[in-house]
Amino acid sequence: MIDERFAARISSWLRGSDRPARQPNDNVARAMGQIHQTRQRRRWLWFLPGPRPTAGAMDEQDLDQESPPTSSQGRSVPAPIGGTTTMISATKMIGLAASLALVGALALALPANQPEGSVGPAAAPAEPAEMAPFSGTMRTLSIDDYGETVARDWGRALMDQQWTFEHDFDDERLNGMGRSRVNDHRITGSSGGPKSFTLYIENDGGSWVGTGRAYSGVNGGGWHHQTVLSGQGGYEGLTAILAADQPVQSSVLEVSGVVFTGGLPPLPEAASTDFE
Amino acid sequence: MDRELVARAQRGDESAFETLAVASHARLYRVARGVLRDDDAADDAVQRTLVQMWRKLPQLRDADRFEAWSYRLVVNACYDEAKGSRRWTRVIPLDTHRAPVAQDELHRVEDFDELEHGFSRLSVEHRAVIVLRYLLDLTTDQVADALDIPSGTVASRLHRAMTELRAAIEADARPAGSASQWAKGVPR
Repeated sequence: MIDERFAARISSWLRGSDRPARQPNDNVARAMGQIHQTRQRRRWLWFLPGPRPTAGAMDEQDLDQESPPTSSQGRSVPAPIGGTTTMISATKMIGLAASLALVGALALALPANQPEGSVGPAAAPAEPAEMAPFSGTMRTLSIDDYGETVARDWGRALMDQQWTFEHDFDDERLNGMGRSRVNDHRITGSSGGPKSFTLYIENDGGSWVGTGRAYSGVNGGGWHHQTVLSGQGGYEGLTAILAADQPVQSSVLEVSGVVFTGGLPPLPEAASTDFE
Repeated sequence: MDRELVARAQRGDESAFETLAVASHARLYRVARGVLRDDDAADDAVQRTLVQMWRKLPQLRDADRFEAWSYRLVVNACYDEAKGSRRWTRVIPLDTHRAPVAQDELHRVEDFDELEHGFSRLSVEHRAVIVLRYLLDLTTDQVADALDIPSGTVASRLHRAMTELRAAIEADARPAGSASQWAKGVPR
């Protein structure tokens, strides 16, 4: 229960010390100077209805600065100037047809069509997976549910903790507000790690699920995480590896990683322990 | 906020965005200065907020939520500002030009100074809920909407923030004739 008198005292102090900005126009002008060189981030699901550039809103120079998207990065595509407002425009239909033709051509060229027993392309290693490195931050906004803590032989298990993160990555597929359910196993007697956890993240385009390991340095050092996530829904067929560092007493994880098509290769068998 | 203006800015219209920025500046600055307690840091946080606002505006699905969404951006900018700088721990100096000072006014100044010191010890997360709730007079639900966290989390965060603030003030007041009192020259 919050003490109303104390709250009134806080309110009075905040209002009493409130001051207007000294040079608001200069501040806006400085921001606008930066904005001229800053590209807007469109939603990844660019083909769904949403705000689109209108004629005059973006000049040709702006469009030139937009780098063409790659499917691995999932970035938005600048809508054409004066484009229609319908969900399926002629431009998109042409793009879709071109994509289908490309997929068809690739299907015909697949090694599976080769005669049995043939060598050469069929025996060659598969094409390297499409890789998209990314970086950004995951900011912890809240722990919405502290979950249940259960003692185990090896330490303690924390079940179903729920976190809310704000993700800010340069890859839209990992962006948005992430709600994570975490199961966390920790060794007893350690305020930090090591720990193992499961992670679930979802955003507008789909979801990611996977597991991770983390440890914190001794003497209250920060956390170091490595997590492997598999895409679901709109991200089906993709895998993301995230390496994250969380400085001491910070709510922000600095993350870098890579999104790639397909999954991780299986772990090899243990190597021989005989040495020459 | 004008929906059409927001929609135009979402489509990349810089002049519409500038109008939005001018209209939003005062309330964003109010939050930033309330949280950071420093004019320069607040200027930087608002500038950072406006750039982020431009960058992320196309991702805002509902133009009606622009105001709440912009509060979230400015609070995040305060986190970044606090992380990148230690200026935010600086306490705003008291206005010492006013004279003569009545006894009531002296008590008020003393009280404000205590609050300022106590508040400077809180985390940005706790400062933000206090500022949104008690400076902007947002309801708990509105704060939850602005920060995109459950109302229950806002209530518990607010409770913890107020408890910590009270504890910090009491800790400051405990040693009689403390350094801060001498520095202020305020007789007990």
